[in-house]
Amino acid sequence: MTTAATPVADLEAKLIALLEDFTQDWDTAPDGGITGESRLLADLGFESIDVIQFMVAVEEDIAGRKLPFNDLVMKDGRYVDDLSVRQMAVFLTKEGC
Amino acid sequence: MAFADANGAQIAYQQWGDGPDVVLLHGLAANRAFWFASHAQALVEAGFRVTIYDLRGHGYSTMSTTGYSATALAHDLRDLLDALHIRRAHVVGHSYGGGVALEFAAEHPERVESLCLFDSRINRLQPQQWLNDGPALSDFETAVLAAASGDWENETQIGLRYLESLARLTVSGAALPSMGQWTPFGEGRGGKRTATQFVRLLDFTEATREFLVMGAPPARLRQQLSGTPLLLAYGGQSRCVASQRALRDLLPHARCELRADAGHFFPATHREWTAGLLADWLTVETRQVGS
Repeated sequence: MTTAATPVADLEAKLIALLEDFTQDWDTAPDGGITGESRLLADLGFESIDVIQFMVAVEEDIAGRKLPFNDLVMKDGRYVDDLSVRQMAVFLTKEGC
Repeated sequence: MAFADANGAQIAYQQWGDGPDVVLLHGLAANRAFWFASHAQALVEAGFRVTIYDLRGHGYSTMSTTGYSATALAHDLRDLLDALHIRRAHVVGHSYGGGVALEFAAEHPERVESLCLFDSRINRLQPQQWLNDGPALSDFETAVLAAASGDWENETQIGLRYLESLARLTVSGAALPSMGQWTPFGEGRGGKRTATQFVRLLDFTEATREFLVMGAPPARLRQQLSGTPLLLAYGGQSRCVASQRALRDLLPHARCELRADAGHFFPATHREWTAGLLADWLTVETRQVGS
C-alpha cells in the first residue's frame, strides 16, 4: 500500500512556512510575503549556499529523508538561474513527499 | 541541520555517497557551494563518499573571533573528520582551503590518503604576493582595483586585498563590469550576503591577521609529506604559481599540473579540466591504495 502524495498546495504552504523561518533574520523579505510564485534568488535574496542549506532543511523538516535535489537545482553542472516555491512543491510531490 | 562541533564552533557540512572518502575544502570568501555544483556530485557518481563543509567564519559555520590561521582551521578539519568517523581521506583544497589541507596533512599524514592542492598560496613558502607575480590583469580585476583605493604596485598581499576590495565594493553596491566567467560574489543578487559576511569576518574578528600566519616550516613539510601522494594543480594566470614551484622543490614526488590559460578560480572557470584531473587523480590513488 502506498501513501498518497501531499497535494502541491499543502507542500507549498509547508515550504513557505519553512522559508519564513529560514529567512527571518534577512533583510530581503518580499513585499506581500512569500508566495508560490516567489523565486529563491530574485525575490528572496538566496545565494547558492542558501539554496543547498535550504535543501537540507527541506530534507529534515518535510521529507524526512535525502532527496535527489540535483535534478532540481542543477542543469549541465551549473545551478539553475532560479527556482520558485511552486517548482519545489511540484518536485516534492513527484518525490512522493 | 548537519553541524559538527569543532573547538567550540559549529561546522556546517554535507555528505553523500559510498566509497573512499574525499573531503573538499573551499577558499576564502567562498563556501561549500563552491564545490557542490561543479564537482561534489560528479565524485559521488564516480563512487566516492564526498564531504563538503563551510570553513569557520564562512557559509553556515560559526564566525568566532579567532581561529582562522591555516593551522587552526586544520584542527577544525581534524575535529570534523573525528565527528564523522572518517579515519583517512583524500583531501582536496582550493586556495586557502589548500593551505588548510596542507597543514592538516603535515600534522596528520596518517589520515591523508592523498593531498590535492588547487592554486593554493602557501604563506610559509610565498610570504608575499605582489601584483607583478602574475600576468596582466583581466578587465574585471582592472575595474576592481580602479574602483578601490590602494597603492597596488606596492601591495605585498595583493590576493587578499583584491578579495577584500571586491567584497567591500559589492557590499556598497558599486557598479562593476559583468564577467562571462565565474567571479567571487558574482551570483544571486550580486553575492551581497556572502560579501557582507566576508567583510564582517575581516572587520570584527582576528581573521585578517590570522590568514597570514605561517604554517609548518619547510623541513617539517618535507619530513611529514614525503610519503603522501600529492597533486599540485595551478593556473598559469594566477599569482600563486610561486607556491607550486616551492612545493615541487620541497616535495619532488608531487605531480604538478599547470593550466596555462587558467586563473586562480579554475575549479569554477575550467570545470571540465578540473573534474577530469580530479577523477584521474583520485582513481589512480584509490587503485594504488587497494592494490
